[in-house]
Parts: sequence; structure tokens; C-alpha cells
Amino acid sequence: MQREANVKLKEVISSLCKLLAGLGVEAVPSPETFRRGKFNRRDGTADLWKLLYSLLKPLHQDCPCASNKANLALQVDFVKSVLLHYGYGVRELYQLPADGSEGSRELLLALSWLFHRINLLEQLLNKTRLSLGDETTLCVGGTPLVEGSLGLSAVQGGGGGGARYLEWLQGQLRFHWRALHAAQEEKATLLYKIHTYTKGCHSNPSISHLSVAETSLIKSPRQQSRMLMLLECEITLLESYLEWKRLEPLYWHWMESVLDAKLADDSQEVLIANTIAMASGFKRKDKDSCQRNQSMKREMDRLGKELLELKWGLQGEASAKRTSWCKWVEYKEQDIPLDPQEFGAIALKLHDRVGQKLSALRCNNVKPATNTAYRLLLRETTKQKTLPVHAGETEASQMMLGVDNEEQLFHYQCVLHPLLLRSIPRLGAEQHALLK
Amino acid sequence: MSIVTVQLGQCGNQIGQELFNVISNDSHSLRGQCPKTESEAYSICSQERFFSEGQNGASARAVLVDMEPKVISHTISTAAKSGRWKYGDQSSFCQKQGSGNNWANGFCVHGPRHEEDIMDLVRREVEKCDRLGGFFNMMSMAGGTGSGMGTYITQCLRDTYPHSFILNQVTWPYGTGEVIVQNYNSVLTLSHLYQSSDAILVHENDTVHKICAQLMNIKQISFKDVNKVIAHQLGSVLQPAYTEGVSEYNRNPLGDLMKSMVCHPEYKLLGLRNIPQMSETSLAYSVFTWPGLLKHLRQMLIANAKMEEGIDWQVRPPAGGLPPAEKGTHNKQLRFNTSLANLLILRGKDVQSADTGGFMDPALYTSWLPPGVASSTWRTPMSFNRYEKSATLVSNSQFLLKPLDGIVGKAWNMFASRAYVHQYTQFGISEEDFLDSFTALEQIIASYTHL
Repeated sequence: MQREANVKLKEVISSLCKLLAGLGVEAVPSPETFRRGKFNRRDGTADLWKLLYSLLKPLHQDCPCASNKANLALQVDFVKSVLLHYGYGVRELYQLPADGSEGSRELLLALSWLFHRINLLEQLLNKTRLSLGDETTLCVGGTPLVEGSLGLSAVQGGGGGGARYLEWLQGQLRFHWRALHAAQEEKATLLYKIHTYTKGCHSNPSISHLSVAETSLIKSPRQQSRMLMLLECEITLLESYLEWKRLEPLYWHWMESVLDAKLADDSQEVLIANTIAMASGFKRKDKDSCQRNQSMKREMDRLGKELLELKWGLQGEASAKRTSWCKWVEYKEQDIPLDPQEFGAIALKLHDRVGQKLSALRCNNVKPATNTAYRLLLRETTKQKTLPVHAGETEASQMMLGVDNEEQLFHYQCVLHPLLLRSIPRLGAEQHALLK
Repeated sequence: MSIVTVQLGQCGNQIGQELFNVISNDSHSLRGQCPKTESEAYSICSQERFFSEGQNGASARAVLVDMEPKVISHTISTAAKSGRWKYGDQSSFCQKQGSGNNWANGFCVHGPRHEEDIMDLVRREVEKCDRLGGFFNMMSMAGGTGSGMGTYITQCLRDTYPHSFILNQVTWPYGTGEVIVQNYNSVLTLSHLYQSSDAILVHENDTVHKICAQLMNIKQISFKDVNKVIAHQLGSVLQPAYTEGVSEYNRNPLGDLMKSMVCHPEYKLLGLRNIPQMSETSLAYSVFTWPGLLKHLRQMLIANAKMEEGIDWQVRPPAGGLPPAEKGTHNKQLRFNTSLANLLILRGKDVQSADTGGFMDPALYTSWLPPGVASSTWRTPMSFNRYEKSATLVSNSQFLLKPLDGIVGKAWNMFASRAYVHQYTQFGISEEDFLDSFTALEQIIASYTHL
């Protein structure tokens, strides 16, 4: 029974390792490392750290903590900050030493937590996905106005003519932006041309035109064989993913046993060390050096405050409206007929109308997801006003309305930051006065 | 990546036609020493930039505007005679009567009245482009249509296409010009253009006249000769070239020009120097080297010389180590021309070997812009317009300080006695508008003086 269970386990872990290797992860440890990790052996720990690092790095490439060097201490730091970012609360992990010598069991638990919590494997699969359509995201951007004065340091550093140099740079930036804008418009024009010229060429009638990638494939046969190879690789990858999914329940059974092992150990030795380390653990979390985590904390605090203010504001508004509404209802009640049947009919009508209005509100506020990539399709507008929109589709005109609304909001934001905007030209005038 | 040219007034239309001639000849000429792929890439880029392909051959991406029909019909027929290119059938706009050299008439009356028709023509040209690279407006400053209506049209272009690049080419009138109110017209044009245009490229009639007389040895100088020289200079700026570190012909020439030269909103005046410039007969006997050409060009920049002959070699850049405040007076004493930014465009054989280090000298530039940012170079191995090697310098410097000062001074003297002002007020330009324009130009002069 034990041997059977062991063999099954080996199969499960091997399929996981095969999937990870297929995803392009560099440092895939052997199934043996996983097994030994359950017993908190020291020897495989460094491998597990490296695995976590190479799994998390592609998802967080813009985080300043990620470094390209093979320094284990830096990798350990990176993994810890990313886990903190996702909200992994097991303190023992953060207390593990930076040389990567201990704690393989903790790492296994963290790994499984990531699989479940952020769909780690599915995210990595999405990244390596091949797509032949013309893609675009619906992300509208809109980073908030920067607080703090970045410009002042440049002014002070640039000597006497700092303000003029700043204006020069701002002008240059504006020209670069205009060129980018023109390039994007050109891209849209050419895309439209390709879509209209290849109408009716696609095998799928609901798509009906070719994308840029498909058109270039038609032009060069060498690319076609390359694309075929890539597609075959992807099929193999997906097959190994399906195999993993089939065996996944066994993996979670095994994880339970790992967790049991940990709890059994914990109750005996680690408790004492924990109480001493708890204080330093607190400090360590606060000293988390990742800039992104700290800025996120600041944002969250600000958001919390704003939500609270919003809540008080709405409560005030609601109570005021409620009192005036009650008065109005009292006034109107005089008109209501006392006959129960008529009253019932009126009440039902009112109920329906209110229900319709609420459902209309709900429909209008459903926004399409902005993180996923969408394929661009050119559709003819037929005589009917509204095209049937299938699930998972959005119309570009709707998105444009949404963007217009966001622009309005942004204008209001600009009005709310008058100090920031007014201070820059004033500074320029002062510098001019100094120079003359 | 296409540029739409708007030819305004008599001057603009005539120069525009010469410009398209030069460009068309240049992109079709055979060059023995360059590989065929290079040549083809050059001419495809140039054709796309300036001409649109129709059923009847290449038609220029241009809109012709004038109040009188005579000049436009002459321009169109001359173009068609060349056989290689022509103007589009529907791209010209003209009326029966001119503006009488009255800026206010052009700006306040003709402009708004014909705005819709003209912008319609422009829109049609823009729609033919896959990507709009910007507008190139050509006009003179002294007349009524070119300057007044041209300024109004530039404003309309800016309002309709807020994200486009607008380059205005302006012809400075002769100092002893025929039009009495040319100084008023100039002042009003420049002050208004500064608001809507991105850069103003200036050609002085006096300078070009001297070039024709002394360098090209033309005895009877007609407007056609002057226009040919201006067209040659403009063509050497607008034809394709490689910006630094890029391996394809630049697809955003106006944008790149603006990025390197006119990023600061107070400094928009650009001057142009091009060498060598000589008659065809002398050309056959001359040999040029890049070091020689660049040395001359550099001294022309420093000493504020308008052409190759008569350069003052005594003027030297100041030695380093002077604080900026003293530098101003020091430079004034030496008649040294401080630059804000320079763009070198080199065309011809062995262009990669040309050393432009002389232009990176920080002493040439103002203190607050590092020379790495202020100086840029474009190159192409294709020779231009029969010159085996040619070098052009587009410069944002104190070149135009003295002429500008002169014009403003003369205009102010006239304005002080309110001479001819009633001609303007009757069409809608009030005395306040004049004062605003004077103030704006004084501000520009002050900025350039303290460079």
C-alpha cells in the first residue's frame, strides 16, 4: 500500500516537473527533492528557492527587486517580497535564513499556496501562449498624478539655467509623444486596410478576415513550418498540463500530509524559537525593502481612508434624502385609494418599475476585464442598431464611451491638483528673473 | 509618412513649385556610386513623402492657396510641363481679387471667409496619407495673402490637427523692399505664428540674392533664380536621411527636426546655411572634402556669415571658464554667434567619414543645454542635386537677432506716428493687437539676446 502510494506520488510529481520544464522554467528540481522536502531536509532547499525564483520572476519583471545575477541571497529576498506582496502570512517563511539552507517544507507549502492562490501555473501558461490574432488590451492606463516634486531636484542640479533646460526637456517629451501618437494612428490605419482587404478569407465565418500574423504567414512558407513547430510544442505543453490536472487531487492529498508533518513538528520545538523571533519578525516585515510593497501599503491606507470618508458622506446624504422622502411619501399617501385591490395593483406596478430600473443600472456598470488580451475583429454594421454581443466580447464603441468618461474624470482630477500645476510655471518665472 | 505642403500667396506658390521640382529630380536621378538597394530605398521614401500615386502619375501632396488666379495657374502649368509630376486637379484655391498687401485683410476677412474651403482641400490631402508627418507651410512675410491669410490658415491647422507637426517657411522681405507696410506685416506674422507653429524656418531675400550674385555668378537675377536657391536649400533639409544610429530612412523628418531644435517654446526661429553653392559651370571643376566643408560651415555659424565668401575668420569661440553672465557681453564684443541647437545634414560620398566634432564644442552653445543634446547630425550617402558632397546646417541661434531687431525698430517707428495703421484698423486689427505683437517680439528678441 505504501509502495503503491509512493509510486503514485512519484508519478504526480514527475508530471508536475514535466509541466514546469515545458513552461520554460530553468531550475526544475527532481521529484526526489520534493519528497525530501516533506521531511524538512536541508539538502534540497536551495533548489526549491531557485525554483520559486524562476517561477515568480516572469510575472514580476518590472519589480526593482528582481535581479539577473545568480546570487542566492538576492533571490531569497525577491521571493520573500513577492510572497509578502501576495499576502502569504506564514511567519516562519520570512524567518528562513538568506543562505537558503533550511526550510524546504515551508517552501513546499508556499509553492502549493501560490498554485492555488494566484493560479501560478495558469498564469505562466498564459504567458507562453501562441496567438495569431491581432491583440489589444482594454487597459486604459491612467496612473495617478505623481505626488512630490520630481522637477525641483532637476532644477537645482542643472545650475543656473535649470528651469530652461526643464522646459526644453518637456518640449522634447511632447514631440516624442506626438510622434508616438502618429505612429499608433498609422498602425490602426494599416490594420484596418489589412482587415478590409482580406474579408472573407478566414475559415471561421464569424471572424471572416485575416490578421496581420496570418497574412504574413501566407507570404512566407518558411514561417509556416516554424509556426507549425511552435504549435506542436504548445500542444505537447497543454497535454502535459492536462496530465497534471488529472493527477492534481493526489498532489493536494500529499500536501495535506506535509502540512500535518509541519504542525506535528511545530508543536514541539519551534514554538519557543517563535516567541523570541516574533518580535524581530515584526521588524523584518516593516523593513521590507521592496519599494513597490511600501507604495502599495501607502495606497491601501489612503484607499481605506477615502472609503471611510465616502461611507460617512453617503450615510449623511442618505439620511437627508430619507427624511425628505418620508415627508413626500406622507404627502402622497393622502392620494392613495383605500380599496385593497387597487392598492395591490398599484403596488405591483411600482415594484416592477423599480426592479427594471435597478437591473438597467446593474447592466450598465458591468465593465469588461481589462487585464486579458482581446482579439481585434472588424465587423460590418448591419441595418440593425445593435449587434448581438456574445459573451466575452466587447464593442469598440462602448470602450470609447468608457474612455471619454475616464477623460472627464481625469479633467476633474486635474482641477483638484491646482497647486501642483501652478507651481511649475511660477518657478520658471523666478528663475528667469534671477538670470536677468 | 507624408508631409502636406501648403503653398500660400505668390511667394509660397512659386517656391513650392521649385521645391517639388528639385525633389522630383533628385529622387529620380541616377547615382552611379551608390548600391541599387540604397538608391531605391531613398527614392521610395522621398516619393512617399511628397507625392501620392494616382492613375495619371505622381501628384504632389500640396494645397495651393492664393487670392489671385494668375500665379496659381502659372504654377500648375509649369509643373505639368515637367512630365514627371503635377499638382492634383482639385488641390488649388483662388479667388478673383487679391489682398492688396494688407495683413489685416488676409487675416480677418479672407481667412475666415474661405476657411472651410481651404480646410476641405487640406483634409482631402491628409486622408490620402497613411501617416501624416506634418504640415509644411510656405509664405512670405511682406505681402497680404501669404502673410495674413497664411497666418490664419496656420492657426486653423493647429486647431484642427492639434497633435501634428507644423513647420512654417517664411521668406524675409528685402531690406529695401517695395511694400511700404512690409514691416508691419512681418511683425504681425511672426508674433502670431509663434503661437500656432512649432518652428519657423526663415529665408532672407537679401542673403539669397547675394548668393546668386556672388557665388552663382548670375548677372540678371530674377525671382526664379532666387526661388531655385531657396528650393535647393529646403530640399536638402527635407529629403530622406539617416538619423544617428538608425538603419532606415527616418520616417518622421519634421518630428525629428523639432525634437532636436525647437523644444523650448521661446526659441522657434531657425536659420539655414547650405554649402557648397555655385553655378553649374564652376561645379564641374571643383572638388570638395568633408573637413574643408565642415570647417567653413562651422566658421559661418560662429561668425554669423550668410554664405561662404566673406567669412570673418577672426571671430573665435570664447575660451572656456567664463561664467555665463560675463559670457554674454564677451560674445557681443567679439560678434560671436551663440547657438541653442544645431542640426547638420550631410549628403554625398564618404559621408560616414565626416567628422562633426567641431560642432560638439560646448563653447558654441548656451550654458544650459549640454552639447550632446544640442547638436545632432543626419547623414546619407546619396548625393543631392548634382553636388557630390553637400552640407546643410539648420541652426537655432542668434542668426536672426539683428534683422529681427531691425524690422521691429522700423515698424515701431512707423507705428509711433500711426502711419498706415488705419488700413489695418478698418479690417479688424486694432492698435492693441499691434502692441501685443510688438511685446511678443520684444520678448523673443530678449530671449535670444540672453542666450
